[in-house]
Amino acid sequence: MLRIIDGASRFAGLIAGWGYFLIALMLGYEVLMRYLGDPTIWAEELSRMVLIWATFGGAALLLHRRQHIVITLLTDNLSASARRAQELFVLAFIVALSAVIVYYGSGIAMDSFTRGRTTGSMLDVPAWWSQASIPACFALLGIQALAEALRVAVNGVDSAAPQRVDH
Amino acid sequence: MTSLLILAALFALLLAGIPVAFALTGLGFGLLAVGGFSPLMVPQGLLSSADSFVLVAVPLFLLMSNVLLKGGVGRDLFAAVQAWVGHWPGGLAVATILSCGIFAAISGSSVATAATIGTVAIPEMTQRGYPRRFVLGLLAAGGTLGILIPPSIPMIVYGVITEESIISLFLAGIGPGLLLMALFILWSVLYASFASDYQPSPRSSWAERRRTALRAFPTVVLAALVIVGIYTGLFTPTEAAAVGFIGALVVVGLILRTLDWPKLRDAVAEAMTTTVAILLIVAGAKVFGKAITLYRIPQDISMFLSEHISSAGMFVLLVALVLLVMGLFLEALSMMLIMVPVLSGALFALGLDPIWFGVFFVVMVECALITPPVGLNLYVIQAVGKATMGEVSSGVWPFLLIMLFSVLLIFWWTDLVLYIPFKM
Repeated sequence: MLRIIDGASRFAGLIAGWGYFLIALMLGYEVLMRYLGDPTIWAEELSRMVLIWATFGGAALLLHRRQHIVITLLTDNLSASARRAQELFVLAFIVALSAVIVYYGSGIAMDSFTRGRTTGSMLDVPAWWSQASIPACFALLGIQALAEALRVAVNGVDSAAPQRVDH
Repeated sequence: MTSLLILAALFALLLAGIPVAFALTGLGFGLLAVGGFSPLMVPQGLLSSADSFVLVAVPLFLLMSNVLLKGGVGRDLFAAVQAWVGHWPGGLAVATILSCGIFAAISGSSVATAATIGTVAIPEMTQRGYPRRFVLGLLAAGGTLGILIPPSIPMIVYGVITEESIISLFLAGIGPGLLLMALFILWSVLYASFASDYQPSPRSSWAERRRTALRAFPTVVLAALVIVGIYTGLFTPTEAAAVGFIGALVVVGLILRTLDWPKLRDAVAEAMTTTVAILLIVAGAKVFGKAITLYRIPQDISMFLSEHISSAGMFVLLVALVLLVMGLFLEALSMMLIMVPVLSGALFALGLDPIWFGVFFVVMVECALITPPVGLNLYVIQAVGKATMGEVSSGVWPFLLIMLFSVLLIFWWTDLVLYIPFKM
């Protein structure tokens, strides 16, 4: 079960990465076509939609790999058992937050879906196409956080987990 | 009082080890719920923050620099610059600064700049007898050019928060970036003239110079294309990032032929990781920002500041001091996303230009991140240079003083920042 969850997050992360790649190609094409006098109407809007899905879609994989930006000033010096309790607290926080966001986010997306609301932009696509990203991606994040919590509860904290500092 | 409580809650969550993005979102939700405001603002805030064409530039600039990185252009750039200036007094140090400056023009991150140039420059310089402390300090400081010289991820984020022009911000970073490069180079040459323990590099042959320059040439052209394209309005910053990325694929994929499939895959995966980490914090900060605005926190702080602080100088000094403290445990973007929305209201009353403030903020954040004993950039250099924190810390002081001096210069002489975007 845990493996399926990890796999889903990894897949979402993979799609997110190539989603950004796709944005670059779309906008490169857009610039080219503009100078050829035939600009597209879809590149800008579509790139924003891909950005939304990719950004929230990658959250679960980053949690799995502990690559979110975290302040480790205090937590680095905890004993193993305190570290485990702290990690469980953090994961419980993320589970609870994800649940709240899924609840309210799905309300917004469902509402747009049933009323047939559209974006009112150039492409005028259904509004829920981007709104659905919030409940979908945070559901994945919440489930991944649950899986991580289960692992920590059973195995303790993997202190060798890499900490990246990128910005 | 409420402001202090909220601030205390935020720091408690952050220090408890909750990822910055979720701490901001969670606290934002808590504030909305307690204040009786609609919690629907949480998903709406998240969505609206990511629904931004300006922010699309973030993954694209990261893709561009990652692809070039994997293609080994850091090594090529350093080799080319070294062939030309390596025999000067302190030549390798000068080459390092110049390489950092050029790499900064294709990368929007100080960590990437320091790590890339550091990997090639640190072994080379220590081999030639430069004192390790000097080398490590030089790279910690040189990396900061990465976010001053455009493109710059923090400047994009600053522009999004304050709704200022990204183009103006990018252009405003050029002057101070060149100033810092000049000051670092001056210090390196002076240092080397008095140091006796390093061996100067031999003068390279013209054939060597031509060979390395030819290899670095496409990358330099690409960097120039991106900046000139933005400056002349050929394309928007976001489009420039897309063009830059496609250009990067051409440079390392077709011209230099150093990019293969596994490297591309890694570049894409790493760009994704950094983008998601950054943009989730931006999204969380949006939710948090909405919540504190409903509590009128930014308004109260602006009011407090304008009542108690009458001069721009005092305000700038205060912000600088707060940043130095926050830099002990926060990284650049978090500091910016927490502080700028609260402070930007006070800028107008104090007569400070928001573009100038953006550049000042970026330089100051970088100072904060290389101030010993703790700072994220110090950790990076420590890892890249396989050094102790003590070595990095003692090496970084002169450079930190130079940077603080440059902050004074841009405060007294605002045209250093504002001339290129507005008067040229």
